[in-house]
Amino acid sequence: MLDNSAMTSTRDLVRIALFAALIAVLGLIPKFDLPFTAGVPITAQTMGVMLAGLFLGARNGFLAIVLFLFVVALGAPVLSGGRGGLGVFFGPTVGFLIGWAAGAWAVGEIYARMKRFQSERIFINALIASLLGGIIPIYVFGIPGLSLIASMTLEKAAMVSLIFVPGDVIKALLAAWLLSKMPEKVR
Amino acid sequence: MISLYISGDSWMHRQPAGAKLLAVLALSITVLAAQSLIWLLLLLVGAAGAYNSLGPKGRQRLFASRFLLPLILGLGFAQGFIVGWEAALRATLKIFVMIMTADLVTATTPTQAILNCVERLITPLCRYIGRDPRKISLAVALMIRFIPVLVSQWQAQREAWFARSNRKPSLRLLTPFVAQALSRTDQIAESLQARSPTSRH
Repeated sequence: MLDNSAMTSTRDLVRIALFAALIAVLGLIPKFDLPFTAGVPITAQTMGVMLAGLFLGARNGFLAIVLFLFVVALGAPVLSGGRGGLGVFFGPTVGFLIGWAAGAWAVGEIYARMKRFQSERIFINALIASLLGGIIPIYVFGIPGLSLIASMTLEKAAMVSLIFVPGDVIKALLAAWLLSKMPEKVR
Repeated sequence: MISLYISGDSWMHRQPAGAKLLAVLALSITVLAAQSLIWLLLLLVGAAGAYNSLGPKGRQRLFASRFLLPLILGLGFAQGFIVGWEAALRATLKIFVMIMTADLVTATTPTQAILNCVERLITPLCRYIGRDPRKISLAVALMIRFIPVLVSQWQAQREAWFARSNRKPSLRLLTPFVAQALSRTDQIAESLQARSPTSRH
């Protein structure tokens, strides 16, 4: 007979690996052609961060990002544009990568709280969780990181980073929509 | 596996993985604090020389990272106008030195050696909290295996779309993609568990 808690633990591990791989694949898929972002590059990978938080919850979503970043550090070119290796952890975007882990955790945590409060509105709950958890923490880590590595002032680093927020809002909409369309049993 | 590792037997390849990782960490901390332009330039030349010593593949690698150039030079120019050219040059040099040395370790250390190094590092911690450190290797292996699986699943679903429609696939395709991936995950978990029911993966 299968030990139930061991089964859950194995299932968690495989799901964590799946979402880490999904983030890698989102970096490979050519970027979605969205007309209203006017040339701002949208890497779909931050949508993967939101999805990890929404589907796996705070703890496992966090672990999925940690696994992804670990594989990046091992030298797999799985960041968008084929980047990877230890170099990216010393580059200007390192803060954003650390922010991904915090972001996935925050999305999972906020979504779980929203669900307790109002369990029927999946799309709205997921959207609020993705907007609050999937955007703010990423910039909270990303902007100081950019400022430190590129020796910029915080204001300047914030200015060049915040151009990406409109893209993030679109990704939050997509992630929430995706969760709300999922069949009950996989959600 | 797809990897940024370059196989070879240079002096860099022969250094132990742990020592290289420590060295790159120490160097980066020093570089972030460094102020002297001369020193930064010397470090940059030294890093380029290290790539050169790896032979033709090393030189190729040095030029392969040029996709980073626009980003870093763009940052440099933006800063030049705000904080002055000397500070901008210093910041740009620092970024180049740090990225190049870290990437040098990636290029000369097999993935497995880094993985073993990390496993050794966290084993005491894992014992303390009662977890199996081999879980990490399993998770890494699973993730790397999932990437081509997901890509071929995406392609299969695109083909299925084209069989039914002559329009471009819409984002609607994402729903069955994620749902199918998740249900496949549960099958994989069951078969993993069936093979080793006693160990807690």
